[in-house]
Amino acid sequence: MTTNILELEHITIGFKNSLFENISATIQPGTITALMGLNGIGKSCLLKTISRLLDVQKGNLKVLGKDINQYSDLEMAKVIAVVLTQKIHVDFMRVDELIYLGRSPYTNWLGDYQKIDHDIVEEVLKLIGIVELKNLLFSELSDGQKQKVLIARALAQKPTLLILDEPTTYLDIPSKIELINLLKKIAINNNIAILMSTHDLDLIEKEVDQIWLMGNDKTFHNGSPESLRSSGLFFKYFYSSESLNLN
Amino acid sequence: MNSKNLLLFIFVLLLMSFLLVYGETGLNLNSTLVWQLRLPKVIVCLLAGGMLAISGLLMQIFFQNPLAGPDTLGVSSGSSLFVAFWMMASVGFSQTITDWGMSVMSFVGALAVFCLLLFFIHKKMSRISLIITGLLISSFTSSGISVLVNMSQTLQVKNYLAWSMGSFRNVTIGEMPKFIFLSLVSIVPVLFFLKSINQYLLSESYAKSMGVNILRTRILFITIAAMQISVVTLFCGPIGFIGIISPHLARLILKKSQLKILFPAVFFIGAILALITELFIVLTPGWSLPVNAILGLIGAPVIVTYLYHQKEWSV
Repeated sequence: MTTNILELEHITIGFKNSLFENISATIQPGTITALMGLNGIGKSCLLKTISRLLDVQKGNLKVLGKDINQYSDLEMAKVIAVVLTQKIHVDFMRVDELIYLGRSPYTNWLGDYQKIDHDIVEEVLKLIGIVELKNLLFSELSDGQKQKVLIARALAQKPTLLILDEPTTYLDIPSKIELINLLKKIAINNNIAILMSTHDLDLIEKEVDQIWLMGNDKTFHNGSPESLRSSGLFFKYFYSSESLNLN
Repeated sequence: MNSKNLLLFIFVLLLMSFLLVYGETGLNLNSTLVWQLRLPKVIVCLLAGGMLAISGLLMQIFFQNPLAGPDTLGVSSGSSLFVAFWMMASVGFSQTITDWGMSVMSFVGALAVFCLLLFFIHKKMSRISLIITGLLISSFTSSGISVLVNMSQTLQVKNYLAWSMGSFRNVTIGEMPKFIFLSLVSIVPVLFFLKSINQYLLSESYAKSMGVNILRTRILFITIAAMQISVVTLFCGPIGFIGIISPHLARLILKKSQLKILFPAVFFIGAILALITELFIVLTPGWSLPVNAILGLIGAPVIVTYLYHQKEWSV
């Protein structure tokens, strides 16, 4: 039996009012899960709840079999790493300095880096293929390069679960494809589970293992891309007149 | 410490020694002028300038806002209002700065403004709105102070006006131990939290995702910055511009963002700005220029230049 990295049992998410109820799903190691749904349905809210930037309103959320509220912030940082949608404004920070920040959960109170930290950062730079960027300033990179650097920072945290909020949004089509292939490589080679929200159904459908679908009728579906397509749910939520509101 | 930091440090020492030596008496080690007047002044410049600069750096990182500073967000004014209240409304209490009641009042004033700002941040206020709120807090407190001035007696008003002009010369040799003690208490703790402050550089959410305890860090940030600002405001009056421009000057000169390097540089640049201001006053005897006037002449162009060169500054 494979252990679940993440287990959602009938959870309710939201800020003050509940936004979406009764979400149940699991994530296995080394798989990619795509989170889909129309804008404003609560995708970011769900991702923030799983990464504990928001509280679970109802239900149980277990990470590696243990309730999420039993983790300290530091323990959590060693299991889950995130790449958020917010743009980062930081002047004069080099790419490698930003990636080293990902090692901070493991360093002492002074923030000194050991040999293992240097090794891991080198390894991550190679894995993402941004070795040649490492001495550049983060603020001078293109959006696609910035996205890769932020993923590298998250990977330097050595997470078991990597959460990405709309990583493909600002990218052009070739960069989107490149990024998805990269994520697939990370999931398989490093046995890291990936959960990402996205709108690019056509691009990711062949590459992901599982899709979580937050429907506009407030029901939650999960399953393989094939099963969801054959059930007609994509059409219902994304292409029908009901969802387009044309009538 | 890298070479540019070392240069800044040497510059501080040069300015300090010049201020100690310059004058009719020169550096006469037996002179009371040197020990009782010049030395306190130089130490005050060094610590007060450094503290203002560090508080500005902390606020810019904490609020993720390059225009944040003790004066722009109204923290200095909050502190001033409470000090003014204590000076003028508390008849029967001693009105010197050695009074611990006044230290507490100035700290409470700064802390109150921070709590207010935190509330607005919690309500997802934009960066521009936050700055405008800070300016409104300043104008609110100056109105409050006008009311207080109206209700007070001449001597108290005179005391207050002299203090509110801002000066690095107010601290007498007798008050020095208290000033140095309070300064060290509000600077040294920062050294222990450089790591968490560094993790804050990306954003508060990223800091949390990297294992930073947000509640604890917020309390620390605000307490330390409020202490620094209130100590300076109490002893020197409200001083503008050093807090907001020193972090920018440090980044421009060093081209670094890492706190370990930035922290000493920002401190020294704050100290240098204070020392230069004092130098200007010393070199123009008879003009009796207020500190804030000189700092305004240096500070305003620096901020405008910074804003002009910002390529993308999302609100």
